[in-house]
Amino acid sequence: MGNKAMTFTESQLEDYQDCTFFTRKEILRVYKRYRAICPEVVPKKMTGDEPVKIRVPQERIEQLPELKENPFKERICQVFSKEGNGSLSFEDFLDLLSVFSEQAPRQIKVYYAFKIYDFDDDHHIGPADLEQVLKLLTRSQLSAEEIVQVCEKVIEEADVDGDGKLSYMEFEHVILRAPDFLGTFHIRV
Amino acid sequence: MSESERKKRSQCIDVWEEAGSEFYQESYPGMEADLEAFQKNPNKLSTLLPSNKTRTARKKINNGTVCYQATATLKPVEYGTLCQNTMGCNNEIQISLMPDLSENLSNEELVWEEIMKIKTMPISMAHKKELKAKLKSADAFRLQGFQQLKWQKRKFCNCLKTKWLEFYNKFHLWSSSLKKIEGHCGAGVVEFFLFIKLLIFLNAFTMVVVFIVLILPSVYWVELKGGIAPDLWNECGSSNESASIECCSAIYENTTRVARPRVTIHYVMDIIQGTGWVETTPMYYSYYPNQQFSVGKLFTYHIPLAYIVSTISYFLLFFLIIVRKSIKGFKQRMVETQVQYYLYSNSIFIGWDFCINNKIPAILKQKAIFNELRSFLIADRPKFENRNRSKQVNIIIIRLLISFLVIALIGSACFSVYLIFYYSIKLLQREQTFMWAFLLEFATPVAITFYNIVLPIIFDVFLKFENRSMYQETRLCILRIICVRLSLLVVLLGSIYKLINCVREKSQCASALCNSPLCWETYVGKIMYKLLIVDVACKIGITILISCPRSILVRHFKNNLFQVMSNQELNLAKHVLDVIYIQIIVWLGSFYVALMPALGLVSMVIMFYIKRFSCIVNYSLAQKVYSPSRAHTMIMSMLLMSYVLCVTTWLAVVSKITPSRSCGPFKGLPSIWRVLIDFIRTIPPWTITCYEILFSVNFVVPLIFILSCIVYYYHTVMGSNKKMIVVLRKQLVLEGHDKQFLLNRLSAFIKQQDRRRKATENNGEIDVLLS
Repeated sequence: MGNKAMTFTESQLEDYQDCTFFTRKEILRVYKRYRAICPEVVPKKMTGDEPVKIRVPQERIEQLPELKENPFKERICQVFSKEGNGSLSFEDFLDLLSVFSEQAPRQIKVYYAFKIYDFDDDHHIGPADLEQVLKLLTRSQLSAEEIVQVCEKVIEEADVDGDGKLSYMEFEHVILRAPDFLGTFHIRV
Repeated sequence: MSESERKKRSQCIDVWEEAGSEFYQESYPGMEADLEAFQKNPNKLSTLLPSNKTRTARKKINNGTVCYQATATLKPVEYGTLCQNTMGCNNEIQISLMPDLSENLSNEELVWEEIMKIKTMPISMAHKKELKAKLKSADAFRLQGFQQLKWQKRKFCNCLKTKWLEFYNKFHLWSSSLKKIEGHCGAGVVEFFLFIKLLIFLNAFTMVVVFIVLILPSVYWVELKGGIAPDLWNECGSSNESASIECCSAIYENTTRVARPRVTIHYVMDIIQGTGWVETTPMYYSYYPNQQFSVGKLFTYHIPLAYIVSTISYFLLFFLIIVRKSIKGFKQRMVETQVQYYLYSNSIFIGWDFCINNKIPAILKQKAIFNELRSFLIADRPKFENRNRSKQVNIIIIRLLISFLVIALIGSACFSVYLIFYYSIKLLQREQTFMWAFLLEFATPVAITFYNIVLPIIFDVFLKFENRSMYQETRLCILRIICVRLSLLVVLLGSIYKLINCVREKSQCASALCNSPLCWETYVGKIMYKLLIVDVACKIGITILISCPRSILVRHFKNNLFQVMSNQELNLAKHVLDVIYIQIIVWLGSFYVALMPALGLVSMVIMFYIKRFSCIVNYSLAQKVYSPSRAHTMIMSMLLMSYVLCVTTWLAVVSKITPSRSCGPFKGLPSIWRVLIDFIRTIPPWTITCYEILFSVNFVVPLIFILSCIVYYYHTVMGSNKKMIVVLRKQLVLEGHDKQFLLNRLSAFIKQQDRRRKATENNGEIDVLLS
């Protein structure tokens, strides 16, 4: 495996192994996928600060087969992007896939799920956020009236302190009850 | 809010209501004034905490602190998890609140543990690396001696685990297929394919066990000893002792000893039918001798005993694995679905499968979610305004009528199968042409498979008229299909039983009255074999010849007519039933056909590819939302039920019917258990005395008493745990409110400080201006 020495330094690989849920082989696989998205921008050697500096724009990330058909792909890119504009460096990309991997525990997935569904970044999932989610999820097939009804029902089910929107705790309370969350909230590379 | 909604909401939030309603507000009264007091005496803040304000809360907190003191450990508080559980959305506060860990950790092991926990923190990679660097550079005492060894061992085990996982993932069978299926149909359907994989491995293991324990020794013995001596045959032909075991076996051997056919077509036909020269191979029960032979001077190998032991062992293995998998799923469902009030939230937040990576399945899945939400909305709408009296009565009459029709159809199908079975046997007694004999042999299996395919389609059409809700529809559909399959199998087994259980005269090897076969076990084996082959062949045929063109038509012609015709298998349970049916045939036939597990293995592999084909190419399962845990539970419960039925049938058969006199390892014995009993007699007597003591009344009754005491104890513990859960849940609510309160105070305090600072600055400026 001569490539290993060239792409990343040992200490980098060790760091990544400790900071994500991936093994060495998987990290290299992730790197290959990252490079395949945008070969002209991503260099072969990432031993310096390339993992942080070099960013792949959002449009190219969204073409990844795993994300292409995901209705939330834009939001996912925005959440994991350090600069907030949707472009991902290698470390952001690794972080993304690590959170969505099978070994990630529930807690961290719930945290990021909340961030993804919170479209306006106000730390609450309000009716506007829910509307957005529904529109993306059903390809705008629901009528406006039905959307309003469903939003009301969701808030009724999950909202506890009566403020009309879901805080992180309420969201967590709902999600942790469901046994299927781990099964559906993962992306396999 | 309507009545039902109010009730639902009250049931849902009674947990929360205990905490009182005064702090459901964002702002707390007297905030400004309180801040002054807080500066002078910080402890006063604790009296303002929401949890302290309610009487019930105070009691519970007192109880809580008692609990905590009892279980407090000497480990430092886990800051990692604390950070996660507090206001998870405020990243900046989270990072700033992370304490300087380098001061609190005392040794290498704790540092290592903290490093291991870094990956579970929801912060960006850069922060994680910073944290790791900080931890690594922190001063930590080196561990000494035994603790050092323990820690090294832990590290080593961890390393080993990751290496093992890597290695195991390389050899994951069909992992790319499963990933593709997941991309098309979602995680629930993958559970189904994992189930097929499980059955494949179990069948493979069974096959290996049977091969080693039974087939190899028997082949060795039979090849060594050869066939029946010719003078025996002459004796039997002439004397009156024509119904002895030896003579019956001789007669049977004579009838089946057929030379391998030269013509290829006959060769192949014999394989397909399972008759002719195939009967002399190790495939059937009749091949196995009832002898025992000595292996050198070590021990004697008892073939009938090996036969029973292998059967019992693989049935036990199946049982253990099925029960283990069912319990895992059951535990999960018990713990996690205590509150079933989150229909909408679950279908929105957890409805989308993030693994789907193809265009058409994504569109289908979105449609499925849309349909689900629509059906929830329709179910919630008040129904009584739509239906008036006569319509209701109409619907009830239609449903009753259809139920009668269904029962009538199933009854007539069973009766026709019985008639076909009876007449095919009768006709086969006479000489027939080759083609006609072939058709007659396959008449019964083909009839059964035909009804298995056609009747569900008819029932689907009926369901459309019954006007039921979605869940009722699917349940009823599955129930009817199970009825059809089970009743047809029962009729088949019953007719065979009738055939075998005829009265036999002393001078006959087998009853001539009902024309029972000389070797009924081989006969049963042949029928099971044919049933399996016909079923698998039909499934392959239907998938390739019918489903494939249908889906091509639907995809390319947007005509309404074709859309109607495209009612593909939308139900996962139907596919599960297909696979379980094949496994039932394998189980029922395994005792009479030693190679049945191998055939089962091959059929399961074929089924995997057929189902994969229909999933990926025909998009048949992509149109509904299946949750993995529910799918798993459904599959395991169906498998367990069918296993119980099969084993009960097998036990009934071997207890009631005497083995045939002409063939097999148990010929001449009144029942197969006799072999076991004889074997037990040969083992040392002290084991028998042990066994007698263990099962005597003196021992069993106290044992039952002790067991019931233990059960009662666990029952009480479970009840008290449930109460504890309720208490802890309420406490969690209060703690959450405490946190929220403190945060609000903190931010208000900071704002106040800011304002003050700005005010003093402004004052300073004004002073400067004025002076």
